[in-house]
Amino acid sequence: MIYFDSAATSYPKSRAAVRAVTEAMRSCGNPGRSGHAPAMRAAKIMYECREKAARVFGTDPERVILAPSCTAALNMAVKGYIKSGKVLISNLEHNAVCRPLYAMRGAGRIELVSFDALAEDAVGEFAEKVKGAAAAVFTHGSNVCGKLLPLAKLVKRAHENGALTVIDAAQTAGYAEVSFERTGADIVCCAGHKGPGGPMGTGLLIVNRALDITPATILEGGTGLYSRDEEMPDLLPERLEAGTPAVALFAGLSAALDEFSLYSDFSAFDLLCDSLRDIKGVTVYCPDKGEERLPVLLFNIDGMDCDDVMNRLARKGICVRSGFHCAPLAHEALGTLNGGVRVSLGKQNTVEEVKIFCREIAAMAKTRL
Amino acid sequence: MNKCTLVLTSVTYAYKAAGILAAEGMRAYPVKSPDVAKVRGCGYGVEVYGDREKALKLLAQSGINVLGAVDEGRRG
Repeated sequence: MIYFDSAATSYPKSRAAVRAVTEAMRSCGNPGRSGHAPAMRAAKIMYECREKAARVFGTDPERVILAPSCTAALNMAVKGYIKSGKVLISNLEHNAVCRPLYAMRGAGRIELVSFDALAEDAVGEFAEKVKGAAAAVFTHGSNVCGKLLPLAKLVKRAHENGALTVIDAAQTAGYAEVSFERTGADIVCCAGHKGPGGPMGTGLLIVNRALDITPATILEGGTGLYSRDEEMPDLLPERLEAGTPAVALFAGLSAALDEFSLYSDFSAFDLLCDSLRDIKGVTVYCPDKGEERLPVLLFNIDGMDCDDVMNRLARKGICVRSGFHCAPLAHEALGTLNGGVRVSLGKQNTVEEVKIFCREIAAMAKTRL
Repeated sequence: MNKCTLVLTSVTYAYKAAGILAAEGMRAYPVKSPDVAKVRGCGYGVEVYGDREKALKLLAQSGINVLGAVDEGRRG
């Protein structure tokens, strides 16, 4: 099998991560609820996971909120930290950013404005539109075309205008530098199961040390803390972590974080881009080599439905994703109104796999000429 | 050896405190603390074996809010 769907989730998971999940399921109780050994083992696992994530992002462990997904983290960040006003997004956003904001706009809480992340002077347009904004919420890297946004520059412009920054790093954690020191962002949300290599069911909401705002909660319940109080505790991370967490999954994420390293060898991806562009009848959407990018591209074969392409590849044991990738704005921006086929690489992929893949695409495209 | 429980604000801070004290060579273990329970319902602390004042100083330097300190044998 050739797995080219790392933007959906990393695959395969490491042995250490799988082992950690199994061990935690066998040995853990409910964390933060009692003082017996299984409960304390679970609490230790949760803390260690926070500690490791905090090291990657450059913050304190208590500022790492363990969430069920990046979507849940983004919902908490957007609805918890933004009260009202103008909010700026890009035209490459995933529905995990758009839909919570659309819901807030529907409730009359915010006004939404977008900037063109594909524009030559995206930073200039951002700087203009962020004036008077309460917040800018945007992706660090597109899950559709691999475009990497100039995060540090955009954050700087937002802060010059007093706007809070919430970053969707679902695609970039593990693929690009995401530390607060380098980006300056206020809040970063990411999936634990993509670049970091943890199990599905894990997400992270990470708060910069410099941000001193108590967020509103979108979920209330038991925290094992200050149980007599009617309100949720005002302390992070417990304020945003009501209910029993998925300890075993975070044990897996914690193990995966021990092996954390950035994707850095673009040779297989460069070959993929060049080879696909050389095939007649294939249109490729991805940034050029000189640009900052993720190993993610979108393509279409003239005259073929993207789902058909995906299904034909699946029958040959090649895994890609077709459709709209939960990012209709990005497809609108790229002009791919019928969707496309996304190829996303991970560290495990090889040049040989890319050659096999491109031969299959060339054969498919040939039948349409 | 002297033993005391430092009452902390959450289980997260209990583990953070234990890590800080351990890094300085002190024996410290997160525990569910009855002392916090008396105040706000449920809570955690860190059991420290050794110099209480040194532990308090180290945690203060790291910005950890200690709600109280209870020496062994003084618990009601």
